[in-house]
Amino acid sequence: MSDILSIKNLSVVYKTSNRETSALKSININFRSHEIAAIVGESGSGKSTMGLAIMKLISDPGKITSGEVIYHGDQDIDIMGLDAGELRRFRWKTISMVFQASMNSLNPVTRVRDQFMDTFAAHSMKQDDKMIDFLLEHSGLSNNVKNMYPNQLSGGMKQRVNIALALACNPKILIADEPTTALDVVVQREILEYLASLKNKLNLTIIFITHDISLASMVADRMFIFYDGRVIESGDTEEIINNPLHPYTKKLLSLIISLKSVNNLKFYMPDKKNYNKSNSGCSYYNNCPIRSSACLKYDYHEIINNNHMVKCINVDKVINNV
Amino acid sequence: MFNSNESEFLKFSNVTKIFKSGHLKTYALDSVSFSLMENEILSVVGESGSGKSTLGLIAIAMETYNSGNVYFEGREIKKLKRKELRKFREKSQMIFQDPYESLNPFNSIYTSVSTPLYGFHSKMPYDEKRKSVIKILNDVGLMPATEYIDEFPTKLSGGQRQRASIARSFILNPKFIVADEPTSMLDASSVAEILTLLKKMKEQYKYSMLYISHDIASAHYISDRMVVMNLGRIIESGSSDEIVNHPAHPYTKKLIDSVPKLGEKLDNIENVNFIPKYINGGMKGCTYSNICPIARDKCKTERPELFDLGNNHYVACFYPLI
Ligand SMILES: Nc1ncnc2c1ncn2[C@@H]1O[C@H](COP(=O)(O)OP(=O)(O)O)[C@@H](O)[C@H]1O
Ligand SMILES: Nc1ncnc2c1ncn2[C@@H]1O[C@H](COP(=O)(O)OP(=O)(O)O)[C@@H](O)[C@H]1O
Ligand SMILES: [Mg+2]
Ligand SMILES: [Mg+2]
Repeated sequence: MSDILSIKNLSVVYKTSNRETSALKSININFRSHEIAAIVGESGSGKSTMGLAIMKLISDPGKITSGEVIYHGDQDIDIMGLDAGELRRFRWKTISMVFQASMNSLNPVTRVRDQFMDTFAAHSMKQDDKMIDFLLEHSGLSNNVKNMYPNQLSGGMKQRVNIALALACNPKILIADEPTTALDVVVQREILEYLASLKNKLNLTIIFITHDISLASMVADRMFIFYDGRVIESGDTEEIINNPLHPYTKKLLSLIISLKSVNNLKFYMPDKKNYNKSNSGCSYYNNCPIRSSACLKYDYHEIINNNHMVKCINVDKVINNV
Repeated sequence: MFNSNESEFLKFSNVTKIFKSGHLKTYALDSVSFSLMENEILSVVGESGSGKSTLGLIAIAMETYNSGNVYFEGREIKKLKRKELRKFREKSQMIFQDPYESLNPFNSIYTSVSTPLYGFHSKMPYDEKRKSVIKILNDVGLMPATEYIDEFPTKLSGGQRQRASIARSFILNPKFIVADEPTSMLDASSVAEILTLLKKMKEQYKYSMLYISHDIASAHYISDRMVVMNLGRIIESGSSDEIVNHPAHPYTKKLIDSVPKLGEKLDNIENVNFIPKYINGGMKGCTYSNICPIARDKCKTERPELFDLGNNHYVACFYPLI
């Protein structure tokens, strides 16, 4: 599979009067055509910032301080270099995003059909009822939803409409930011199935952002584990869940509540938030069970095999289960 | 049936709660009966709209009901005198879903956690109040407490905030806790932390708890017994292990099948089904009969009552799965 989008050395900083947050610290990711890639990490790890940066939607007090995002279309385009007019033609048509918690900001006084029409208009597309029917059908919603208002829809229906709106201009890449958070498990699964079905039906590349590693494992071909603005481990989903190497990834996997978990979950103290502040070295240092002084020295990463990358200097200890 | 040595701590007997808006009636609770034993954690499981929060609020005397009876340690709540009600409120606490809302961002952790002490033990000297707060913060894992006590909630992670909010709920040493979706706003990895904490706390502070959740896996993890609700009715109840391993109601099975499972692939999905929005406006038949895959005519016209399958496992279904 060829690459469709490459993030290179991307850094984003939020600078407010009383503090400066490095939300992304020089991240590198190559997304492949026609894959579902999951971005997994706890809140505050920089997942949404990455999604917004890809769309060049970072605004005050945020700033992209370095890096590029290349879309590999007929020719390579550096999204960071696009001007306002070019961005208008690019967003939604090439890359589209379902924003975090956006299903609850659907305009309550606008019927579903008109929400689509507004989206078409905003992106200078033909106002096409057939396209709406097509998108609703793929989302499993019946045609009469067109004439409904958002408050007549259940949470799951709203999110389907919301996702369908992001697909209105037939994008190549869809970024879905926590599309199932705040939904019940039953509806969460429906939405997940819907997203998974889109990959094949619409030939999409999907970047699925979530804090839940077990959800990610159900739809993603590859996973990127975020911690404090860095990708600390990445690889094929199977490889990550069967052979996790970073102590943080291991912790995420050990904390899954499943129907089988009984009394065997470890009691963890809450993680300390005071991450390692220096720009080199490992952010997980303060919370890591296998840390050593070398961890603070350099920004280390190791390729275990073609697809499996881990940023842990003590990876040998993990492998030998020390 | 229940061992007669065990005392019924809380008992609902045919409780019905109707919300009216205009000509629309919603049976938030439709003749609900169950008991919570002393020192027990009982889970209330169901999708949003099933009446869980209404049940919790009624249990804690913060909501009225239309008919039926609610007993607390054998006394009818409606008939408690003012002084007794005050005692009841001191001994009963609620943990809410959103730690961001339940902690005032402008108050320090000390101020938030000590609030109930000011309400119920206003004469307690400041030093003693501070000591109790330090003790409880240590108990909930905000350790060392001196590092947290004068902080503001904005400095804490979601999981830490929920710990602080749990600390406030426990400061009066309550006998009864209603936890309404206490983990649904948290990262997946914090969920396990909070549930493990609630289990640990129970060994130290003896209490009875209603644990409310849409997630049957977390309910199974935290409680020995559960009731499953659908549109205002209890449709199954019994030991958590029994229900999770041998669900008798098709709706319970749906809840179980929807739990995310690490590594289970959702590939090749052709039909993306969804469940539309239903309410119980006074249904004659089974509340699940509209969507139940095995419903027959009888299910639409006759209300199935809970009956004993043995081992205290009850189901309200004419055609149970076991
Ligand atoms: N508008 C903003 N102003 C200031 N800080 C922000 C803003 N948006 C995000 N941040 C900070 O950037 C970091 C990453 O945030 P975010 O990308 O939202 O993470 P995630 O989506 O993984 O929860 C966090 O520390 C967050 O507080
Ligand atoms: N204050 C209220 N006014 C009107 N309807 C309500 C109110 N509270 C709850 N309901 C309705 O009662 C039903 C049950 O709600 P709720 O108890 O919040 O369920 P859950 O907590 O399981 O989501 C829903 O249909 C809801 O819309
Ligand atoms: Mg986010
Ligand atoms: Mg509720």
